[in-house]
Amino acid sequence: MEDIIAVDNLVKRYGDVIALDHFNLHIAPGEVFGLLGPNGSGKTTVINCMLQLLTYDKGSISLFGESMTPVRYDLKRRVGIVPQNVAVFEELTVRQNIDYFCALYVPDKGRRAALVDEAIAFVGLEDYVRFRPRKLSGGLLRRLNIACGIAHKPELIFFDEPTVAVDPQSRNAILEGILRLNAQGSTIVYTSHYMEEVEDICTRIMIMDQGRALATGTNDELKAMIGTGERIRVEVDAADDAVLRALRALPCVAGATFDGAVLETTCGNGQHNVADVLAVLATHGVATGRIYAEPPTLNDVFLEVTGKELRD
Amino acid sequence: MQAFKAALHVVMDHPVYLLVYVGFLSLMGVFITSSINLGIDGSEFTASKAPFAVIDRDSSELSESLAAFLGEQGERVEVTDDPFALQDAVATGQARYLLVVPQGYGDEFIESARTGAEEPVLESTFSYGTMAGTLVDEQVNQYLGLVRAAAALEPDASMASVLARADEAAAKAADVETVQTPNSSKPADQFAFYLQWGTYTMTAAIVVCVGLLMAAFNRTDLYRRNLVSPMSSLRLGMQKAAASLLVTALVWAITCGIGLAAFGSSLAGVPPAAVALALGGALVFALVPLTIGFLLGQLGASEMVANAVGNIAGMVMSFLGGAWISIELMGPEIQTLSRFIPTSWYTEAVSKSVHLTDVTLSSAAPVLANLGVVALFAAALFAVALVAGRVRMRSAEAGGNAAASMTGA
Repeated sequence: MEDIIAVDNLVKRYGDVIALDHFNLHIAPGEVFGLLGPNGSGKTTVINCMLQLLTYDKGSISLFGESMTPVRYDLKRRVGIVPQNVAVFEELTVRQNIDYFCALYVPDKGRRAALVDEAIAFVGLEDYVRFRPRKLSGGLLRRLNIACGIAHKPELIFFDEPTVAVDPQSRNAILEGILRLNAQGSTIVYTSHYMEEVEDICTRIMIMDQGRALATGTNDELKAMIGTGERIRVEVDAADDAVLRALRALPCVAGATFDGAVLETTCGNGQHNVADVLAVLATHGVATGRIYAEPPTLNDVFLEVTGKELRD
Repeated sequence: MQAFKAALHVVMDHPVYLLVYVGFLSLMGVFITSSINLGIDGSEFTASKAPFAVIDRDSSELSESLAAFLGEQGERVEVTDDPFALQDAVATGQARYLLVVPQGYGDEFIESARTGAEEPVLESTFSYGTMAGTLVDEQVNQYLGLVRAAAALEPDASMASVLARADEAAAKAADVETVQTPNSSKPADQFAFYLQWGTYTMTAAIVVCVGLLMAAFNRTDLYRRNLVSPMSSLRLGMQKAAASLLVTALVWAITCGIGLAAFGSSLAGVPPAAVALALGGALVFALVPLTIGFLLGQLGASEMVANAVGNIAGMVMSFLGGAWISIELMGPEIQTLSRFIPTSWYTEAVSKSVHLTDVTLSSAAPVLANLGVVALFAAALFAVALVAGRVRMRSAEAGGNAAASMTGA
């Protein structure tokens, strides 16, 4: 199937700073694609280049199989954008705002009215249609921001950190909404620095840093790329240096620590990690309490790929 | 027309601005215009009569005669001969001029006139709030001069005879007649003054309304959201411009409509084409605040800034442009400065318009030239606004979301 987005060898410079360094991105229709990276990694820059808000120094961008330029209004008509900052008119009501942005894409008034109603229902703002944005809470504002971006039923939607500064309830509603849009046929490009969100909703993820794509794949594929396997925590009464040395000597163990109550062992990829660790403890006569075995998280992947925490 | 409608919604969301800046300030203009005397009432000259007081400690024939002469020129008020009462009378304006004739003054004055000895001195005080006291002092000197001349000419004449000759000479006065020239003030000047006052009304109202409208669209994120839409920048810009022009025309129409309703009758005798020229001039002037509002929008100015700029620019432009006080009454530096203010060209155009007796291309040429200069000011401001907007949006491009939020949108 033809890529809905094809970015090849994109280079964007701000003076001496390289914001995008021969960046490549290919997204197939129907994907929920996550762009993950710390602030300044180039996520927003690449989106702005794709949307032709920024010029670029080198490379090519195609949307829907056609070269994207600032005057390709036919392609722009098929795209929706939900920016990070709420971008609505403070002077217009909820309904007027959605209608305004929808009208930029759908001139037909009759068709538009139905789309606006649908968008209002989609984000659950039926009770607030006459409200001005200044009367809405942060979560409701975010929903309005989304409704303005999706009312025209775009085939491709960019969500640029849509859950920043949003309460957990509204965040869940937004994430569910994104999945519903995807189920209805829209391809989603989702940028965030909340790894749990990306892990939850994205079918494929790209980890970016310093304008480069460091790794791309599904959640499982990314986790498989790294050497870190499970993290095994065992509640124990005591663990002396001999126990720790024995654990570290295991081929599957990358590290072992004891904080006085919990013995934590970091393992590499392996089939019998828990059994091997428990066997060592039994050999040394260590009485065990509760045992936790956690698979690697996206945070582990990020840490290993970029060498730093995401929120750095 | 979605952007056009949204732009009007933005303005209409602030009805208080239209009410205060257009309605209230226009009515203020009506009251101020009605209350000031533009020198257009009647054609007869009436000398002003200032209140004065004479403290006569001499009680001579000369002092009484002098007081009687002043009484014909002004309005004598009685003041007690007490230091506090005298100070109060001048300080409160009860008497604009206070004359104290010391004891023995009459005889000494006649003696000095005939012998050439040093003249005795009168004590006098002027009120500081007006020139009226100075004029009364001039009249005192004039009368004493006549007495001095009569006494010197007839060294043996009695005091009564000298004073009679002086009174006879003082009674002779030149006839004063008011002559109307083409440049004289006429009733239509009232309407002209209202339109000139309207520079403040229009500047404040249009700067604020257009500034709000433009700023709403130029908030960085909204601007970007519009930019990624299928609506071209040109179409979007045209719709915003159309909305701004409509708001400008609305402010102009209300301002001029109120003026016509209040002072339309003063335009009797003024050719309709001349009135149209004055009103058209106001519309050309309105382009200046329109471009200032556009500039503020390009800079992303807040509502508070738009209000401040609208008011301050309105007042400064109106004052320096001679809309409130004639430029001729100001110092040479201010007069030079005023040529760099569009208002001065506009006020001149309006004054010239209402004085046109026949509107032809040649008679209207000076007015059109003035309005052309006003239009050039607007064009220059528009160019500056375009550059400012471009610089601002470029700075917002750098650094994605972080920079976008830094621009304060």
